[in-house]
Amino acid sequence: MLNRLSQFLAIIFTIVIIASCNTVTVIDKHKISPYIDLGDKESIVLLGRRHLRRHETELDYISCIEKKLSSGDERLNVIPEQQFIDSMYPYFESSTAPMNVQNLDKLLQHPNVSKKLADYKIHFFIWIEGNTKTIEKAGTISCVGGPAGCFGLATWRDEALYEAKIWDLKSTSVSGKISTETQGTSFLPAVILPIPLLASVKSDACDGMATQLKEFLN
Amino acid sequence: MSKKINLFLLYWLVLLTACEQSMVLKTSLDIPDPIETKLPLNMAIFYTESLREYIYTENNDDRRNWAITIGPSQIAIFDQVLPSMFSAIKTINHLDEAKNKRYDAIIIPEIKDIQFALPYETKTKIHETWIKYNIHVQKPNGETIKNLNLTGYGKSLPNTSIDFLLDEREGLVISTNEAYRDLAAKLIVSFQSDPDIKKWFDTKL
Repeated sequence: MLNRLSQFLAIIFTIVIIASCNTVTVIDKHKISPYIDLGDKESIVLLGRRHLRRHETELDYISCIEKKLSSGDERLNVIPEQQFIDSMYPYFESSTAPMNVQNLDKLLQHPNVSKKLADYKIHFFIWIEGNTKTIEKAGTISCVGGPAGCFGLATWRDEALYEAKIWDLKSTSVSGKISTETQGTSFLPAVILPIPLLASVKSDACDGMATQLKEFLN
Repeated sequence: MSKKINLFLLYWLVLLTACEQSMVLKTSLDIPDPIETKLPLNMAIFYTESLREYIYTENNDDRRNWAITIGPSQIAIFDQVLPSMFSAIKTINHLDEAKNKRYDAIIIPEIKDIQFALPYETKTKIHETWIKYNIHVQKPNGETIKNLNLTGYGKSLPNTSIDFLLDEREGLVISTNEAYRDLAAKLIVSFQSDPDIKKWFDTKL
């Protein structure tokens, strides 16, 4: 009877922990221009904001969205971020990139810059700002004699805050904004061996952003 | 007996020399070709001896025998980016040379400061490099047009920052190369947007 009860409790404990690893995403979308129409042969480029050293948008977050936008139904022509930055050198480096559409307009005065953008057939710039960070930590794990003798429980809460600003290159205006806020708690229970139960905060924030961008541009 | 002692001392000397950490880095340049936005100017560049032979050195408990060769990479930066900025650019060996030629202006780069930050110092898992420059832009008669103060910043990716010496070296090479890239970008953009240079340039048209 006691054995059955402990098995039941272990199952409940596992379900509770796995359920707790779920993430919650809140999306806010704001369409400024009513006419957003991306032509079949036109492209977009996603660029991470990295001018603030400690709050840079991660490279892997941008590449995750790029991958999702350029695959599946209603796929878009996406120019890879690093390829674009290298070919537009020195105008889209983290310290020199235009911070607003007015500065983009100024940049377009250079004939070689506007020619290059025309060659890429870029219609929209999507600037992504934000990052994922751990906002809360709790619990401890003690290990004796290497990782095979650990006991305890550690938890941490991650938060992913991102905002996408969509610039229309043809009208040099802001077409819209999308922001995502995702939170989730990860667990590391250890009974002899530590077993990480990770909340996919950044990946869910990527899914949410990519879905919204696809809807926005299609 | 004395021969034995000598051998023993020699053994320890070899061992101590081998154990001493040293950091000798040769940075290289890996920046993309800039988009050409040439100003119609006939320019000269003068590399001072101190710039050509610049070696960053440091020797303390945390940074044992650091020697980072910066000079050749600096010259490579200017040699790569300046032709994309001006219709003509020539390297001169003496400032007097400029007086006899019809150059619009002379560029004299000077390193003011270099700083490095290691992962354990900043607790960020990245290596960082700052290169602070003063770029003197002057007329052939020596009159100053502008002193551009530019700082190039670069950092390594977090996964290259492991505390072994080999990775330390790799992290510093990456962050220093990124700093060069940033510096070169700022140099190009500054020449197109700096108000004093613009004002002077307008008088040339």
